[in-house]
Amino acid sequence: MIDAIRRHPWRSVALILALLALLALAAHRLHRSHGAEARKAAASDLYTGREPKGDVSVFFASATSPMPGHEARAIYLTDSIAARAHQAVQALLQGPKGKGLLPAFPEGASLLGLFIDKQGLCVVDLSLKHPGGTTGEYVSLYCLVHTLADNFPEVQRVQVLLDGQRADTLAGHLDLSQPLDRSSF
Amino acid sequence: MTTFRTRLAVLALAGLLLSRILPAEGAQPAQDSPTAQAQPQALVLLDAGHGGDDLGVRVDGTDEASLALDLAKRLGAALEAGGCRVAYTRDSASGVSQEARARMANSLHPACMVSLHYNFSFSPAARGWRVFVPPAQGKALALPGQGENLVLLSWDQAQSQSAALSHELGAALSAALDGGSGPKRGVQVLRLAPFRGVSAPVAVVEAGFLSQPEELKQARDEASRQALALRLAAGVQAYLHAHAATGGR
Repeated sequence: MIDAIRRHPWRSVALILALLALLALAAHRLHRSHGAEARKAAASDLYTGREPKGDVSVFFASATSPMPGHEARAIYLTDSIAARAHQAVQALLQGPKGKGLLPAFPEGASLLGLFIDKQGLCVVDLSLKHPGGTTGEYVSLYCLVHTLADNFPEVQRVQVLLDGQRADTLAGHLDLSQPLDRSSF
Repeated sequence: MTTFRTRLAVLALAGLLLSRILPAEGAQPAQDSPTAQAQPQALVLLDAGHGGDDLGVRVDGTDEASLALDLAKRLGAALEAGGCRVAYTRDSASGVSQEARARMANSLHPACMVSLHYNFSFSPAARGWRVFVPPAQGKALALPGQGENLVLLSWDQAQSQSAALSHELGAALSAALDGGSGPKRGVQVLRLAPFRGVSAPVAVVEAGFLSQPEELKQARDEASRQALALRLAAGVQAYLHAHAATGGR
């Protein structure tokens, strides 16, 4: 063994590096898997699963009309309105189930947090990479605001954050420096 | 930072209003001036959207920032050929902040500002151009003792003085894009970032959907962009002509 290392030192170094790379890859996958579990657990913290279910109207882009449409989605009717709103926005980000509707947010968009204050301001913290366009942003924000304001009278205005930070726009168009409401559209 | 910016905007706008209200020393009233009939060349500020690291909408190797810049230059050339003066918020691929764009609009005092973009939609049903104008929001605050000669405006309310003219600009652009045969889309009122802090009449034109294969093909075609620029130039000229008595403002 030692003789082999002495005879081919570079081959041995390459072997060690390959082993280290394999170990790093395995650790990365384990970490990602653990992160996904953690996120799943956080989502289930919203409800016990024993609450009754009720429908909310979730808005999506229309395949046939420039204006968005909506479909009914069942959520757990938790005591917390914020937890209900959280479930509704998650359904929005997951995309439509029925025909004739299209996603209003890009694939991979996620909800990092949501709360509603006593003045009716709903703060929605999203993580996403939006493709842009005034119409694209309009549809995303229209669907978000209407999904929240049409289902939850407690929500009067919606302030969007991106990755926990105040953002001027989703991708350069609709002004997010102030909260949005239904009259914004 | 916001307070400082607001104060700057208030000072700039107050100065602008005073300079318009108070005649310069020795100046004759406009109706007595021998040059009153000869309108100076109107200045149009063209704003190519995005730029720098921000490429805007990207589809199959085509990006909104490059197309908007090309369209702005074609529109600028058409306007100059028609006797206008033209300035650009950006004339290269470099990025410009919204604050810098607004600063340029407020210091150059253009007759109008046109912001050029290309659109995206999740829906294949979305087609064609769109024209957007800012809402008339916010109330100007009169400074005590100054009557109506001096008003204070916050940065976010800069458009409140020009919203009606912005709507007319948008309507003129929309009519020119219709070309008399297309669908009457009119203008849509929306609070957009390109309007923020801009006191001049302003409109955003979304020139077509890059997410729509036929419109992507048109956007990539130089002849189509040139034809679009000429229609937009006709819209700007129509607006300027309608407001010639006030030099475009």
